[in-house]
Amino acid sequence: MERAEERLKRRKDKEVARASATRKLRLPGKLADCAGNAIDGAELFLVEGDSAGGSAKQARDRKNQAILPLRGKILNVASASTDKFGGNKELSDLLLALGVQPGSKFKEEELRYERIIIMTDADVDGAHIASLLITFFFRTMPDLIRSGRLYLALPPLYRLSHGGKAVYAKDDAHRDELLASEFKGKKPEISRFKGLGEMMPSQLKETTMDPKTRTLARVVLPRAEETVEDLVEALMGRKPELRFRFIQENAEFAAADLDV
Amino acid sequence: MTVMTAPPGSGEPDRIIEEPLSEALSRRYLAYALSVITDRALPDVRDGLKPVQRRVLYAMREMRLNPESAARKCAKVVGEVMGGYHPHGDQSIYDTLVRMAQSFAQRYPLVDGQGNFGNIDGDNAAAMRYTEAKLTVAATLLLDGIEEDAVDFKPTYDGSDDEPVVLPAGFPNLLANGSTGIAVGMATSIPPHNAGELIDACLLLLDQPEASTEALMQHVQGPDFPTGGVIVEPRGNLAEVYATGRGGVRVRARWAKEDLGKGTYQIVVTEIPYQVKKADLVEQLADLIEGKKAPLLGDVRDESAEDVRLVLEPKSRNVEPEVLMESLFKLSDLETRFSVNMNVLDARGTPGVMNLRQALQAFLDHRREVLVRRARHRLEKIEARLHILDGLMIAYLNLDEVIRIVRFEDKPKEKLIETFGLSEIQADAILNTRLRQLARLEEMEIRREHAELSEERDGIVKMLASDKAQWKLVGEGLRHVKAQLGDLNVRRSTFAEAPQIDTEAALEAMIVREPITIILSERGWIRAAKGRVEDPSELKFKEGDKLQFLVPAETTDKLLIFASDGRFFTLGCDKLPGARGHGEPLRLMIDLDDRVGIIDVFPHKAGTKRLLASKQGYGFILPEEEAIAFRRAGKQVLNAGDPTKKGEGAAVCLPVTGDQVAVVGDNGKLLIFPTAELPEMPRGKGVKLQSYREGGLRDAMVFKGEEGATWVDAAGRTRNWEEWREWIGRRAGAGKLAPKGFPANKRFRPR
Repeated sequence: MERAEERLKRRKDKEVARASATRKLRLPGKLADCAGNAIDGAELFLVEGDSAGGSAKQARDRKNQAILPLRGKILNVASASTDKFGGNKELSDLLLALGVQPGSKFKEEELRYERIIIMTDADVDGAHIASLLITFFFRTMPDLIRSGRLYLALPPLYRLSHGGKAVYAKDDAHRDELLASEFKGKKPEISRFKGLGEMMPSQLKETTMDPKTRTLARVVLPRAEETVEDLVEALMGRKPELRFRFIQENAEFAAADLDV
Repeated sequence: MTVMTAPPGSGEPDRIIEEPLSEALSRRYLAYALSVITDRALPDVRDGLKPVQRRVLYAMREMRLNPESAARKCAKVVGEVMGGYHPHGDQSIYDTLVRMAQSFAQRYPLVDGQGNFGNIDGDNAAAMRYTEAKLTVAATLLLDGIEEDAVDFKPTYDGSDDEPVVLPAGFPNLLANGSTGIAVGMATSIPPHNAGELIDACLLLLDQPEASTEALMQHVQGPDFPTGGVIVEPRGNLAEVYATGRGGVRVRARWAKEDLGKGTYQIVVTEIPYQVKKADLVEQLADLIEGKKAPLLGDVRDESAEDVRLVLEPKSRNVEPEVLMESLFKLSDLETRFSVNMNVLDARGTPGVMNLRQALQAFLDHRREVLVRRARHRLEKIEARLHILDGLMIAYLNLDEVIRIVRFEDKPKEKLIETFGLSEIQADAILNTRLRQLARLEEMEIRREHAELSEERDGIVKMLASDKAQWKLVGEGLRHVKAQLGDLNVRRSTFAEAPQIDTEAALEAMIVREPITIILSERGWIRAAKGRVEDPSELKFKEGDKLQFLVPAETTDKLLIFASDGRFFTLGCDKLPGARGHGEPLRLMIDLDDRVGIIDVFPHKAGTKRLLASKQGYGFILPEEEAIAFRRAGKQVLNAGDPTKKGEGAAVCLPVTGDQVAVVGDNGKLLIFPTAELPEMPRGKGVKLQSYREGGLRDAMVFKGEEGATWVDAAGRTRNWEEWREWIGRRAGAGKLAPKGFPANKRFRPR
């Protein structure tokens, strides 16, 4: 049975290869591609939700920044069947935009971008989507992570507003600095930053997307990749009891990180 | 994390930090998991609500959508909830609102819906721009006292307002309405109960804090589903569920027999199990009829209007209604199992599975907390009023002086405070007194109010000092709430034992007994033609296929199939595909490998014995009953080796119809010995029948010595074998060469 499935998959892979060889690459309609053709320096932002995708499109540098909005939670590749994976529109769009094929067919030189940047909301659902995406890349194209091409965007943590003005602070130090300068003598309302959709495009550009001012987190793989594989299987795999154990063991230190 | 600069030469001023994948993944995943567990999918043990439900109820209260006021558009409510308290999708909020209004989903609906809020068929509610909603009395019981500092509040997500952490919860809503939810790594599933019974159990627990689960179950016998139904879970199992907080509850549809005269009848289902969509159920029953899986059921009709009325027609009036229903309970969602896993968040927000007692105790503790907090709140109010009354009393006693001060002093407030030793609050109260109220500043009035409030204060102070008094008040409050719930306390689900009926036998009895002929082709396509097949040559097969077995049988028979690997398979003759067309591949019905052949196919006859033998020359006698096994994998009876290898596998399967066995080997040697020399076994390898230097056993035959032996030649002529006694020998001997004229294929009967 397994062998048969594999055979079918291989045949399908072959067909895809043939199709893309003869036909011109057709990019998904949702992708706002960058203008330049150079792969060096090109960045693809994977944005959560259409509502944030819109402002990200306006906030980008059209020369080398492309935007792909993903709708809702993407498929968990660690627990889905091959069938479901193949039939998933969001993931096939993503692969199409990247210009590569998953698994053994992955060729790094086919990648259309130098950096892949995951940009999700700073809430818990954003965290979930980011972890689903990391799982997807780890499972289907670990080479992309090995060569250090996968990044996480770091949107600001706080929103300070006073009167009609709202400013974002990327961390505690920045917040204190803003309190001392911008809001000197005033009492601004400070709240945790929630979603990308709440920012104006110019603010999004300044805080998160502009290479001059942003900070990125690069996802790196440790040398012992098996430990990562075990973790991915526990968190995203099909066995809930592994997840339960992980939560039980780690629940305490996470409480500090939790913002709901 | 280490801060890194961009690779030299890239010219980018990017600030890049490194985050190991495992950390990036586990930190984000944990944040999500814990949030879903503590703030989304699991209910609080105290008020039984998930955050979104609590927010909907609180927002509706803030909008004053009380039972006596007019309902307002759901879109307005959803907007209020989303904007003020719950920054998530509008649809999930509306779905929550709708569910709380559905009388078939909630035992005690918390929202009073106007318009289409969906139905038990599984149809969705109308869009939120059409529907309207307000709170029910039950919801106001949950919210009662919330403005009296009964519970903690926390800032909302944007800090612009406050929202309650938990509701005061006038009745044990967790168990009354139940809850289901899937979190990460854990889930919850709590059935609804009867609030009146739960309150009785609470009162018992107040009386005897050490009451056992068994004692609590005198009041709470089991769940009480909004859709009614009959709970058939044995009491022992329910006790286990309540003692551990885990298990399952089987619920059946409620039905009655309606007589239609002349011995005919129909069955009317008036209540279906909880969480079953009626339209899906009807479809499922129709599929059962269509697929011939429910032979006792003739037809199903949905005659429901406001009430549920599902009509089931029996196939014939001879079918016992109990038997019909019992068979349908097995096959369809007329019986379901509600799995119980009472996973809840305790008062500190930690998830865990609780049993009945723990859940009730947590509720009672919460009620006491609410009571104490409300009492303290009231006490503060009284103290403040008493303080003012003291001031007013002084003002009354010195009214003329007070008037003078107010009229002529520059700073009357300070003067009042100075003259009479009043507090600022008292002075303000005096100054705020309207002229027309001066007349009311009567000593008697003030004294009366003072005395009343003092008495109330003393009562509260006393109560706050006494645990016993507090518990007593909690109990009184619960009794009062029970009275307010009124008709809602009438139990809907009832209890019964599932009758012990052998539906298998009944199903068999329903099969019409008629002769059929089973046709199995060489390629393994099987079908059953009605009646007898007179001329086998007229049978049609697929191209390249032809007849292998033609077996006369009856629909009530069990068909036994003996495969060359020594396994027996059993099929019900009524379940075979009809003879219209080529039938179905037998290998789809049983787990039989392509390389394994079929030795024989025959209907089972009780009491028959069979001679089984392998090509290796071993065999035994099998009572046929031992061969029956309604399993796809069949039953291994004869250890015949690997049939794909030369010289191995089963060779014969003959009914034992005589006292003599004749065996013939590939070498053409014949041996005859009495049947009695073979052992009777349920399974195994058997004993040696005949010895061979080369090759193995080819064929065998059983005959009666007194009637003589015969064989049938290739042309189909029966030949008498007069001198058969000359071949008699001892079992396991070599035998001697077959007589002249014995068929060249060395078989007693042509295949």
